[in-house]
Amino acid sequence: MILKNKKTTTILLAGILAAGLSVHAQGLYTRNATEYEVKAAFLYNFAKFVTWPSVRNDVSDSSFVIGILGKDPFGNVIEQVMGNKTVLGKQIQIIRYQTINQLQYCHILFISDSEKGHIRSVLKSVSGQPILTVSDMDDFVETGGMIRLYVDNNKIRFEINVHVSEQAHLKLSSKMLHLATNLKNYDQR
Amino acid sequence: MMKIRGMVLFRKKTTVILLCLCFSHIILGSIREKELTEMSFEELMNIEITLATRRENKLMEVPAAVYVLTQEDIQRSGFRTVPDLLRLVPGFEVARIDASKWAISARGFNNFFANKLLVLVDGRSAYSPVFSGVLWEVQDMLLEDIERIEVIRGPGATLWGSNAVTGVINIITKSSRETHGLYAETGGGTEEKVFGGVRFGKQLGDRFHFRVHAKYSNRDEALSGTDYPAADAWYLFNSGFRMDWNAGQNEQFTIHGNMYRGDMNQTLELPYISRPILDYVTKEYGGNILGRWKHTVSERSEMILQTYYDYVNRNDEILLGGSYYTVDIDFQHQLVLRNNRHRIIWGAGYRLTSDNIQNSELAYFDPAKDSYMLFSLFIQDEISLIDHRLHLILGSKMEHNDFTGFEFQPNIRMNWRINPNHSIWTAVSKAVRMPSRSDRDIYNLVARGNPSFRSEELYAFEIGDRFRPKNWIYLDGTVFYNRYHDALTIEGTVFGNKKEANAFGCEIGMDLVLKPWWEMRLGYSFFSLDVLPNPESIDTRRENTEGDSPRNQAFLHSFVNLPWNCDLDVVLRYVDSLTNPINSVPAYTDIDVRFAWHPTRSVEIMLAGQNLVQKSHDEFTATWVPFMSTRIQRAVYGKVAISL
Repeated sequence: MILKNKKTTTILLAGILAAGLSVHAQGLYTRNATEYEVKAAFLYNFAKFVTWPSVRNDVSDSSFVIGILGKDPFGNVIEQVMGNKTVLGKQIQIIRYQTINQLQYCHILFISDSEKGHIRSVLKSVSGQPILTVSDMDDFVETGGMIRLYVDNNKIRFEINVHVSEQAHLKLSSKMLHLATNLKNYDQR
Repeated sequence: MMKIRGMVLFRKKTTVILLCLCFSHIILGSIREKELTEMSFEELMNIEITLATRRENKLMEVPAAVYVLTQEDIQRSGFRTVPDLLRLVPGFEVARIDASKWAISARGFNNFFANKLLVLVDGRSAYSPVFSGVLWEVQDMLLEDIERIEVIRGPGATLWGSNAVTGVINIITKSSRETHGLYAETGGGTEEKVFGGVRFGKQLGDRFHFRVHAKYSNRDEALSGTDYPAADAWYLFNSGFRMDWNAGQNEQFTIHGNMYRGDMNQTLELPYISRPILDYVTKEYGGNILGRWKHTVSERSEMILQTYYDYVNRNDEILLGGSYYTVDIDFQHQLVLRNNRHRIIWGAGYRLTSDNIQNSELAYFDPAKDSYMLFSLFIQDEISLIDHRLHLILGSKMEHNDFTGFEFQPNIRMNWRINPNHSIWTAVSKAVRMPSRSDRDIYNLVARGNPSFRSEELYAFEIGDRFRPKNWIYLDGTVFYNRYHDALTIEGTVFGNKKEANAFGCEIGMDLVLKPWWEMRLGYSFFSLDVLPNPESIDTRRENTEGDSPRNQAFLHSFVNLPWNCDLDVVLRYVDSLTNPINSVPAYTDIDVRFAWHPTRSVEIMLAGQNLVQKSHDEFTATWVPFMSTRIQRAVYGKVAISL
């Protein structure tokens, strides 16, 4: 009997400990977030602070499309963060593309670091279209991308290539331009 | 009765605890998600991001013991061969026999002829249907071009087919879309005498990408435990190409090819000659070409058609000499039904192997030439019982081979994603190891083949848990019980199927991100094999098989990013002793260190030390083979790499 009680106590203690640890861990989450959770929230904010020209398109009429090209760094984090959010009354839809040829119209295109090897042809294929290109790869803005997200001192920062976004007839709010760490004017190369 | 009540109590308590755990996650989780999207730019820019492991989230949904070695794990190990990389997988048994030969397995039955592990390189089987096993020395490629190595411990037969009994290794190289430009590396050292590799990749037009590569490695001999030198130096040359063509929105074509040539030296100890034969050369060459067509019908339906030709030639007058070719054609269709409840994968395959054995006095095959076919069909349904939470997988492979006829290899798997950061899974599966040509037709000095040799069978029971208690910790644990039937025995001098065995073990892997500049991977495994006494069998080698696997194994792989673009990486490994009376190897602990400096983004200068603890040590003494097992030595090498 004693043995049995001991066992039960041990199990209980272990359980409490585990539950405590997990609550503690969750407590941390509320103040901090992971890199891609914050980056997903940035994408959502870009959606609110950019104005798209009206495009006649079956998809874009019904939903607000965020595309992810290449190896997806968000996983299901992006779905968790965006939840059932809407932009301009349209439901957000996340679409993942393996290759550039599968690409269909999207409002925001997040280009994964995996596409670095041929980023020029990716940007060329969407150039002039009202698609907000976002990435976290190095030299993204210099190569002709619109917004680069990067980590500085454990915080997320972004820089904007104004020239390319203007060519694509996207209107970026002055607040966004003000908060960007760099404003650049590079041609697509 | 008391005992039973205790069990019930235990279960109730566990359930309560588990429920508490999920609720705390759900409630607190939702608060956080609300907050992030309601934050302004300024607020978001003030959030300090926490450290997180990079283990892919979708692993949480796989009901199998999957472990992935990424390009980063590969680069930051300093290892130069695929077998060495497998030392970084929890539970894998990797032991070097001589400079160019390895014994590699998972969950037991390790040997030079370890035959229950299936190895695929970009969809092509590297498992030899002639000798049953893998010629590891020629499974070479530019390590820089590997995207990842996916390892499944435990049976994978329903999807991958026969011989995926104790594990499957899938080496997946990068698409040529990701390898544009020039890459070159060269270096050398005490054991890795000279090596060099070069790759060039480019995009042509809008949709066509390619790369070509060549690699050469020349390795020093190991150390002999006898008065004679080890005399097992070797070299290997390997070259290949890959082309990826996106013919349209829904069509993707891939063609890749490889060829290799190498000389492996070794010392032969033959029973009828008193002095060993030094520097006995085995010449190996081969090549393969593979084409794959991926057709996307819609978002819910995708088809893959793949075919390859593989030629292997091993020129050896004494042991395992011969050549064979394989032609394989494989079709796979994946579709998600309208209600999103069922994801069905089915496929069919055909494989033809034709061999031509180089018979010797030590071992010969009768007949020396043969051709045999394998037909396969599989279907698997992944049923979503509760959206994104509870998945049930039911499936089976049906194969027909020329040796044993029809084989069925079903499995049932279940994955419960308790919350985004915690999932548990369980599986029951059957897998077989098909007879190879040597099981049926070989005549050697100790035994001869048995034309009525049947498949070795395994019934496996597994439970696993994946848990991310904090973003910077990832835990992955598996417990398994394996029951073997009809496993290989030697009845006097003839192969038989009279071994029954139980295996039990667990494997734990852990990822830690301690600081933005410091990451760690840890692994621990326990394994125990019990070959049951069988009065009908006269094979007395029970403890030999049992003692070929280490009971405990552990490793720690630490990655540190230093200032001035330097990396310092350390691998610490412990392998328990082998207790086979004729393969008795003491336990050992070893350390590998790598230091690299990147003066610019495109240059790497690296120095690596391997097996640093002892001057030399034994890892495995192969039995039933005439070549000498040698000692692995402490080694140092340097490398310079550029990518433009």
